Amino acid sequence: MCLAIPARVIKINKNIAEIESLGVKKKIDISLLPEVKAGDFVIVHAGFAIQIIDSSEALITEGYWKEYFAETGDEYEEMFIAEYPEKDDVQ
Amino acid sequence: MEKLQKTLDEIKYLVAKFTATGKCKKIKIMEVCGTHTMSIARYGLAQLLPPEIDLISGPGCPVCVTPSKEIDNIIGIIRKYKLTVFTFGDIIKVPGTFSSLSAEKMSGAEIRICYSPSDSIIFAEQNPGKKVMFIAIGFETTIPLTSVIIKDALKKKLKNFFVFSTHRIIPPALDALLSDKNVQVNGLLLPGHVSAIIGLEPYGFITSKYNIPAVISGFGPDDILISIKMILEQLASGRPVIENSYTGVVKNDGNPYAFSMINDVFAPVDSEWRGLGIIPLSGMALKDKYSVFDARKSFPVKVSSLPEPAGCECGEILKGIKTPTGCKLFAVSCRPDNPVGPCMVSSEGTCAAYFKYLRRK
Repeated sequence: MCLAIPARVIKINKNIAEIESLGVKKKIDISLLPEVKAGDFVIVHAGFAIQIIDSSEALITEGYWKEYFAETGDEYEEMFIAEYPEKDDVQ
Repeated sequence: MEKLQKTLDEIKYLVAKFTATGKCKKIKIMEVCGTHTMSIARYGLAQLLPPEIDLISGPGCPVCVTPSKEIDNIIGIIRKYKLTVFTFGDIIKVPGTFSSLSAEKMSGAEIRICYSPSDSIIFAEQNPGKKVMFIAIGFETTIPLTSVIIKDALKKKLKNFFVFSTHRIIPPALDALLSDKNVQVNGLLLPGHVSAIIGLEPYGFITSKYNIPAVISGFGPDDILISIKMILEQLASGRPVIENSYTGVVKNDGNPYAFSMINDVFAPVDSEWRGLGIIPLSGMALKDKYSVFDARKSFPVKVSSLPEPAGCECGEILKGIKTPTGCKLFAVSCRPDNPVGPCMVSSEGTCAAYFKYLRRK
């Protein structure tokens, strides 16, 4: 329930940021992190960035979450992966 | 595995050192967060640890600690007021005493699973003729998100948007748990993403009042083993402190801005937790200035709940007094395809984790 996954902030427009996470792009809300800038790594919980994190932490945990979603195969997968458009669709 | 083995060797050494003092034969470490429960089961960590260490699960799955009566109440509101309901996927399969949200959805109620709380307020704005209710569930990780959308609803002066808060906060629950004489815990693995919001300070009572080691942990197998090692080091030294092993994510003061958003919108109220009873100031209710959005006030209902299913041990399991294998229903009449209690329903429930990964210990 309290899952939060790492993402890199690409672009910011007011309270919405475009991010890349687990290889896919998505828009999220950054209202809870007024100081965040493009290039920062954050963790994302249910569509909101909740904390800025170390880039090394993002790299370490990314593989772990990929495995987690591949295996748990429940609503979380829907929440974090299925709703993410495939990369090709974005471009 | 090599990295894990090094930590495991250190853990074995520390356990031998600690048990040699004769203080206790078993070391009980409670993981408070449901995602830790899942990770421990997935990687078989309980089986890798020395037999003296018992890992027990705590009240860290928001869906599991929500009492059936609260689900009944939500269903009562949906039946009476015909709302469009938004919520997270985890809660919809949880049985109330006479129905569940998924059963209501099958019989025609408009219940939508959302990825983000924002989906609910966007829908309310676009559909002014519909009354929209967001069922807000979760601990401190999620409460700031609900706070943002409620503040947004006030700014936009929405008349058709409501929040049913089942939000609960972790520190009062840990306080209630540790003060229960039936609960024997020697160390706590604290939740990583709750702590990312609240930081270290709210946990101070764990050491000052109960003298128990507590470490904030990440979610990978090596993170969890290192945190267990840190707990053992504290036990060996006899000087418990609140430590943070998830430093890449958790800052000492958490996310103060998000924490302030919670306190702007919500005020703590007494709240009932499944298995733990009523815990003072552990639930979060909308403050008066946001009460027009409070579904509990806007949609009064009287609901008669039925008795809880006989034999379900979710309450004892959430306190760490029993493990799922100690429940007579486990894997017999209570299974993921036909769950009796919430700990089998939620993907992060202790029983679901034991069932899925055949965890025996």
